[in-house]
Amino acid sequence: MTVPETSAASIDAVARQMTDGPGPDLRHRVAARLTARPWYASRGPRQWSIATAAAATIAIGALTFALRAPREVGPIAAPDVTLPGAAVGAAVTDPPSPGSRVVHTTVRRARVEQSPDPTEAELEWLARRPDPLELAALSEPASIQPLSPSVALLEVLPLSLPPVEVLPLGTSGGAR
Amino acid sequence: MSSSPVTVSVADLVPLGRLLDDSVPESRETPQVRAWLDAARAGDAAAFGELVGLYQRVVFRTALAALGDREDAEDVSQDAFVLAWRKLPNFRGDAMFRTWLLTIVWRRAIDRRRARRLAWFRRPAATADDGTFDPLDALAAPDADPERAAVAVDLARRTRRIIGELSPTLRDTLLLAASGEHSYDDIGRLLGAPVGTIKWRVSEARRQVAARLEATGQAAISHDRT
Repeated sequence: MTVPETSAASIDAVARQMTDGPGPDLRHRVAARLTARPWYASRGPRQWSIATAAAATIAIGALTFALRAPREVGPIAAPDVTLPGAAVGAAVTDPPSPGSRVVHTTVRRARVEQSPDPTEAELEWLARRPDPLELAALSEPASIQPLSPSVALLEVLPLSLPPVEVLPLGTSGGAR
Repeated sequence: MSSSPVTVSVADLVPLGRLLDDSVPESRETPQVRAWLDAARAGDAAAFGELVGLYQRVVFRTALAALGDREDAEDVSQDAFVLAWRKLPNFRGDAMFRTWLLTIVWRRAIDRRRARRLAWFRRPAATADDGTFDPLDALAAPDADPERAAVAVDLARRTRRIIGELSPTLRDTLLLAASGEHSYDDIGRLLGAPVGTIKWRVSEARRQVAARLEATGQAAISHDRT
């Protein structure tokens, strides 16, 4: 189907009129928006100082609370322990105790106050400590060499066998 | 009161074709526009105001083509100019300022349309009785007799309603093309489609409107005879 030229022009005319008409004068409105101060600049300096102080206080409080709050540690599964002599059947039939497998732990961060001056107990403990070991002078190699072995020398004696004595036949001793 | 049926065709609406002859041809920036652009880039709000005055009509009509509501189109046009002012340092001048500006307007208008889910064609059309401006009244021939003019205006309103019921793709293309403010190349850049596709959409939109006009016209005539 083709649209007759007159109908197409008429449709275009209606479509044109749909976006036609007296348009607004946007110059003043846009200029007003361009020159308007941004919202953060419309506040007074006193208001901003109060807001800044409040924000800093809240931030410090939140940080302090986060550092001091106890840290909750989740359940920790205890490892299975099998005793050497335990019967397997008894382990299966016995109902497990629900509290025996899971340990809830609450860990509180403890701060150890360290004083720069040692207490009397610490001084006493330090006085009882043994003297440090003497360190050999590493610059002298002979001082760290092992001692010579004190083993007696072997003595080799000459082999001396007694001469074989041969007796004549018919003697009481007989020949051996 | 009995009235004789008056038949009128869409060809009786005047003025017609001459409305489409004054489209704005695209050319490079004029020296005056270039000077305003340079000054606006340097922070001169008054120079940017001159650009607003120069392009406010095409910007408003482009937004109106997408939204169909004059108040929304005014808001979007203002937002688009303010956004263009903020982004002006990023404008490199590869494209014409008008094309760049219209791209901003179109995107903001489409965002507004999506956000509010405007069923703008379902809104009651402004009538001459309530004192508001209805551009369709200008389509009736001034020298026609009152009855014929009233029928012509009614036909124009039916045409507008049918255009509003087109798919957004066809309706946007038809309204932009018929506005006379944009070339097919401009529309292709705005809608992200090749020129051939834009031409087909315009033709298809006209065909669907003509077909539905014919169908509803027959129904109106038969209803009038009963």
